[in-house]
Amino acid sequence: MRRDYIYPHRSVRSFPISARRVCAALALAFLLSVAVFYFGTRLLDVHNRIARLILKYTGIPAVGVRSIEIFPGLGPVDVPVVPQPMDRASSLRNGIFFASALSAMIFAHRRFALGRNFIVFLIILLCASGIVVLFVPSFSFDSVVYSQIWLRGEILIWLLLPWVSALLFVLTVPTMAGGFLWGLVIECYVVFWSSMRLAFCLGVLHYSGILFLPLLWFVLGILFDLVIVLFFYSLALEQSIKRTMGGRRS
Amino acid sequence: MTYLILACKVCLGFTIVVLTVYAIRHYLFALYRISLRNSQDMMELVGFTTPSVSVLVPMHNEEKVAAHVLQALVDCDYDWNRLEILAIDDRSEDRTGEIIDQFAAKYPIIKAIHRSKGVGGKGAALRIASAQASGEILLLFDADYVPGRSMIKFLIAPFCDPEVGAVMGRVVPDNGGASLLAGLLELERSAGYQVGQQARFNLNLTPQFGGTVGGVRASVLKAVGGWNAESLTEDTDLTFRLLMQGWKVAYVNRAECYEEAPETWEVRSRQIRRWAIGHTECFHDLWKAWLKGRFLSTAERIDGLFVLACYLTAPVLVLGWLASLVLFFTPQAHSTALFLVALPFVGYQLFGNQATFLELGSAALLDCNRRRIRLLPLSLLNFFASTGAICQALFNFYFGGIFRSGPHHWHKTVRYRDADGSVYRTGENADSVSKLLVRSPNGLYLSR
Repeated sequence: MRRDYIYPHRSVRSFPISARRVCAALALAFLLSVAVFYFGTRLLDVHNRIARLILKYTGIPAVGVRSIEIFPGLGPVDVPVVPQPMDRASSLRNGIFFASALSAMIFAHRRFALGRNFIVFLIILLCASGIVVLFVPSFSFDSVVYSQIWLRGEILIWLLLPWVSALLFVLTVPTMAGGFLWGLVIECYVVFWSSMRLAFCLGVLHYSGILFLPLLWFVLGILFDLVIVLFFYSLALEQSIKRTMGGRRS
Repeated sequence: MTYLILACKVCLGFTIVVLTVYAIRHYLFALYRISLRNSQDMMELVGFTTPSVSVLVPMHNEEKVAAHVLQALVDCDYDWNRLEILAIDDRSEDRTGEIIDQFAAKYPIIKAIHRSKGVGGKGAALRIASAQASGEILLLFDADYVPGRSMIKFLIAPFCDPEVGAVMGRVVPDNGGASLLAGLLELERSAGYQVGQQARFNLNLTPQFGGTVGGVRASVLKAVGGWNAESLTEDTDLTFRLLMQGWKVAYVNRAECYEEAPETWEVRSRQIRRWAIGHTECFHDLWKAWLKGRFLSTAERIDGLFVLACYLTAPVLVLGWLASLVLFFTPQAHSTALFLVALPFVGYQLFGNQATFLELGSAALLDCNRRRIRLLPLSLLNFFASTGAICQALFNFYFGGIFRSGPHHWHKTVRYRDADGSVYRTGENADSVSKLLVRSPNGLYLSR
């Protein structure tokens, strides 16, 4: 099939960024940030409702809700109160969880060379919380504090994300409308996905106390947000490359 | 407790500032490169000058790949009257020397150099070979590289400019599909050259001469004191000494040469540890002189420091992580959420490749590399792996003392190419070597 044009060699290729595109990127970032800021409390409320719904349908008991401030001027929002195991039997169970998780990570460490340093960091996190649980039994998080930490991080991500999207998608994806759409989709997806991850973490809190919380916060928190953004970015670029170059490699 | 929290906050704040500055630098490079209308391609200069050229190919136990690189160089379309190839067998214990001798017997432009004693390492081998080279321009190729037919002309072109002291081409892995790591490294190399090097060249900053797929004027090399045989990264060392003496380093994006990227993490880990130590060694040796360099602009000085200190950001990042871990277990400090968010957002950007994800994406877009771009989310694995390896290397560098004593040895990267069968044997069959070249990606170095 005849192409419309012969595209240049990759060494001299470029995708000039027009002033219109820069304006569009700034507009998207500004509008989304303002929207998140203005509707922040409502957004957090929806987020927490989804989390509570997931907890309910997965059979994890929430004994109620408590209203908390996320930041001064942001809130109050209702977060679920999930009971933690406090009895003596839970210590034994936590010990088994700890040993199992550690064994699994050591096994993964031996088998998967590229992920070794990542796993080492997870082992450090697990051991750190194990030491805290063992030697500082008075130290405790409840689900309310954990939710507060989580939501503080997430709301900042939601405010920051439009600017990242503007940079990654609107400026660099060849079709401006496509970049705009990707930016919107990611913002919605990140909010929804965050509620699912929070529900999962609260479920783990219910069964094993604070043992896995630092690890989960590290893996399923901002790191996971970044993985989602990168996943969408790679999809957007793949589509762009396919469309721009007719799907052929240079 | 209050002091601990304060110390952690200071540490975290410092980490965020350092990494943010690096991230902004890389963002600017990516945006600049992607929107670049004139890439200073240098290709319009091809054919204007044809100086005498000596190609240096240092080899240490390279029997798997020696024949490929020598045959590809012989096949280059540069005038043989102005070309010599110095194949250096540096204390090899395999058939490398034998292969070189066979090529030298067959092609008069190939000169075999055998070293059996003296200081080890690529820098030392290059030092000896450079003394025997007669060309005005010295080009360098590692043994696992397969230069295309026009490669020498492409690399020679920028030397039309009398201010250019060294030139660097683009390195492209040809085994990106061999493993996940090789695929990730293809993305990384692409970002480093297509975006980073090109942007730095166009912005008159500090494009690096990488010690392979590049060249240097013989007279200039002599004037700046030759190769530093003591350095693990003699290329970085030379780049900075050239720039400090007022010479320019040109980058030619079109001069693409294919290499084997490490396919296993063990090999990659050794490679990145060597780079980390070499760079940091150069940082300690050169930073004072660099800041005083009278031929350098302010922007060059700043960018050069960023380049030299780039591996130090890995331990800084780890310190930031540890500080954030302490803060996580400190309820009084939870108001530092901003810090805890900012750290990963700027931190995760950088490593795996010394490039941000925007750079990786931009490079894949420019290269139209659809297959590799799917690996982008997995580059986080590479990021963690590299961060750990760099920290380990720098720990050894600062506290081990093992790299400061005794002579340097070859830190040879493992080769994966298949050496058995008649296809690769000692260049006896040029046609079959040509078949090898045809099979490589894009076919750019085979116009026949």
